[in-house]
Amino acid sequence: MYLQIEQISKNFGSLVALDNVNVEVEQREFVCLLGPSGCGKTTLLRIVSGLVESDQGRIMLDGRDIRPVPATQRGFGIVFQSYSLFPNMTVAENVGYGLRIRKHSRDRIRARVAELLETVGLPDSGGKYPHQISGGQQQRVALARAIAIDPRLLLLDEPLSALDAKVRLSLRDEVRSLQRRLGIPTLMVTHDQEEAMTMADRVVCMNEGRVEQFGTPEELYTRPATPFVATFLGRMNVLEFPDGARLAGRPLRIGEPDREASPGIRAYVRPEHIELRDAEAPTGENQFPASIGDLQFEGNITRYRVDVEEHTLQVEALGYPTRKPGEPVTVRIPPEAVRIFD
Amino acid sequence: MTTSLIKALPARLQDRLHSAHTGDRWLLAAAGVITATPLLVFFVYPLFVAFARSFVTLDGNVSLENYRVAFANPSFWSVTWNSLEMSLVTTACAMVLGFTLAYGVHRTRMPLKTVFTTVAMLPLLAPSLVQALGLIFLLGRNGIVNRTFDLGIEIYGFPGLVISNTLYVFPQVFLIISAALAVSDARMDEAAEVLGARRLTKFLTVTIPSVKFGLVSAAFLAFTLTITDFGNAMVIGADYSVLATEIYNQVVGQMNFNLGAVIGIVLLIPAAIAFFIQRMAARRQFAALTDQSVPFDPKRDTLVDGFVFVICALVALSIIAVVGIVVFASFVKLWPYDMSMTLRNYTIDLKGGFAPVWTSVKVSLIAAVLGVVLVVTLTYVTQRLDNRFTRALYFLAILPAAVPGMVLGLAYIFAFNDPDSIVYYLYGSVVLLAICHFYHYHSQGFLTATTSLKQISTSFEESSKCLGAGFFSTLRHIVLPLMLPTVLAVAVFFFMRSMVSLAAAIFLVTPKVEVASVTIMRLDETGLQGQAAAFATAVIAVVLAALGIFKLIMMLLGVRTSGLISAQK
Repeated sequence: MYLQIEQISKNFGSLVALDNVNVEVEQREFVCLLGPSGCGKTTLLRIVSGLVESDQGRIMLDGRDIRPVPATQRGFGIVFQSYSLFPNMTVAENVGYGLRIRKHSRDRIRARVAELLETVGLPDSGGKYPHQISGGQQQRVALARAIAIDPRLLLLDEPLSALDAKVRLSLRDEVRSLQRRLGIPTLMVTHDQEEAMTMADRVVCMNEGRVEQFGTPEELYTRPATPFVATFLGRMNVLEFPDGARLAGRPLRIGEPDREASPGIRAYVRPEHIELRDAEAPTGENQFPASIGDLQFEGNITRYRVDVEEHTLQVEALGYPTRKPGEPVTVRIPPEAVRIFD
Repeated sequence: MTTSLIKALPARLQDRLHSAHTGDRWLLAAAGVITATPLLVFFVYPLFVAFARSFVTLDGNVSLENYRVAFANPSFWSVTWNSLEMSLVTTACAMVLGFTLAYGVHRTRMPLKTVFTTVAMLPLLAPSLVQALGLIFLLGRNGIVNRTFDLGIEIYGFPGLVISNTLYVFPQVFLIISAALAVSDARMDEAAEVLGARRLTKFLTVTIPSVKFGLVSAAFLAFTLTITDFGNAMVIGADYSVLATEIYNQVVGQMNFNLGAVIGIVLLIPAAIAFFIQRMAARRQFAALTDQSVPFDPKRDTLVDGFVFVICALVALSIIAVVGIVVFASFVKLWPYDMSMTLRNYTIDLKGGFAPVWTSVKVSLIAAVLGVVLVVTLTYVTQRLDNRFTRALYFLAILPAAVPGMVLGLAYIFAFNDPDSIVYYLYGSVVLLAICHFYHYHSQGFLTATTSLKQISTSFEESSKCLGAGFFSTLRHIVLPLMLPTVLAVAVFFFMRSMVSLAAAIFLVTPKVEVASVTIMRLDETGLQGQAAAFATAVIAVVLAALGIFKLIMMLLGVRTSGLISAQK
């Protein structure tokens, strides 16, 4: 394992920012720290960077605890959300700053800066000042500045959050392919689950200072370990059953057999797993009489709000709308699609 | 040895010492201690001594005797009453006029806004007594108006003091209210309009409440500046005695230092109250501003715009007249008998000639250089290191705003005109004068630098650190270049204020070391009004030159000079 974050805890006064956090990053791997604001993800990134000290725990890089090493000597590249390019320096001076501090020769710096600006697609912007280029371009420069020093680890702190939606999407792919090409192990903080899912090899889902789940995006989406992960990633129906799992008078069977009837249970079902059928006398297992409450057309998919007695379900169906509000339907909830937690 | 010492420390502290971050932290802490020391020696210590002295009687006993004597003296109460009456009336006038100009600039479409705001800053370029001097040239016994129209206007005393002090505090009142109006959210005004509020209703229910904290701050500042002003009171006060002149008479006239200390403490009370109210107001005012606030786009309203314009024009003309006539009088042969032009006034009769101007320049340069180094360091420490020590330091750094210049000057005599004092050798030197001016204006410089540093995101420094730059490299390549405009603005601010400050200097000048503002007062006292005017004109010229050089540097650096105006307050 290349980077091992072991049992890191951090308090700010009485506020627990991080509570026994464990994360690993392998060589060439892209790991995202994902969670709502205030979950401690940025604090963790700052601890790894050396800008903040942890109260407890170790940070092992290549088998060595780097906690005593100051940020200046860790040799990590870092990119912040925005406004971190030095406004008093040109783009080229920004990119070359780390090399200048390392006392490289002028010619070497010039050559390396040119090469890096080429890499991030801004070969002609070296003489401009940060305020003369767009937000997306600024973040490319920030990225070039971070990788200029051949960092042992790349740290990205919500690097795309301040950008326009379109720029964000294209930069997302660029950052990812650049990271693949250079093979720099990368830790990125984001609160945008789509960003985490599409960019990361593995995702650390955090909440209230703790790691809820650490795994591939697919694992987190299909096999959430906690109710938090289940509801935080993607859309999720949460059905509450104070007196046992019954819908419209019929029992709801759940994939795990012995969990069926316990009162106070909560069942989690993804909208895309629920099937809508023409109204018929429900005979099969987990089929329930229902009616369409409302619908939203979203292009390639249609979202329905479906009322099943006192419960409301979100259902996602591929294709254009085929049903109207008020129309009676039958919904089928496949037992294996229902998740419950202890 | 060191290792065993460290081992003896508690675990938490040990951890800190071994940590990766202590290097910078120790440097910051050391810088904090280095800048805190002069603050304690040259601000806290003299005030403490002055406070202690107010309890010591002439025969050396410690008692409340000085206070008893002062309070038992009916003239003390009449002087206090004079001070209060004059300051309250001045505050009211300055508030009305300052608000009118600020409202005109931000909420109407009156013409000549830039001209008015520029003229409004004129009184800041000259010592306070210049207002009084100009007023005498205009409306005094031998003033232009009385000579021309033979009206017999009696300007000396209360009316003269109110007018000259109103002009003196006007720029500062205007700046505060203007800042409050500038940040208040125009959407509230628009909402009120949509809801059908008429202009007067809107004015009373939306506009005024939205700047109430600014109004409170401005009023208290005006009151404090007026009640502690010394220059105007000396020149135009005549028999109308106020607390500031009374301190001077007790200390310089009757050598009764202890009674002077008592009056100083009394004078400290309104200033201290104003200070705390301003602190509270400042905290509340900022909360009103969000990044979604919308600037106001005023509509044309001939009646209101015209009314505001007329008042602003009258104020601007008064300021120009009062300052302008001083400059004019400096070229007049023998006011008012021989009005032919001459440069003779510029050959000063007092011993030393123009030497005090150069002394003032020297004092102001020292105050500017020393001030900017100390204030910027202190700002950096208090902004980048957050602990109990730096929070206390922050409070200490803004506390000088609560102390009138006269009280600080008096405290300096008590503390430093004493062979046993640690810095006795500084007494009577330009350096001590510079230090006194610097600490008198410490808070404003410090707050300006703090505001500017707050706008510099810490991510610049963090990026630099992660890229491998150490503390000093980051300071040299990133922090200082980014702060340069503020550093220059703060330096110019200290220079300008030190050039024109009178109250803080009056007790510290010696026959050998005399500064320009004091000389103007002495020339006026000697009846040499023409030469006083010439001297004042020279001071204004120096201040304008400094301002010009500053603007030139800023232009060469490509920076807009918006920082300087906010540096005034």
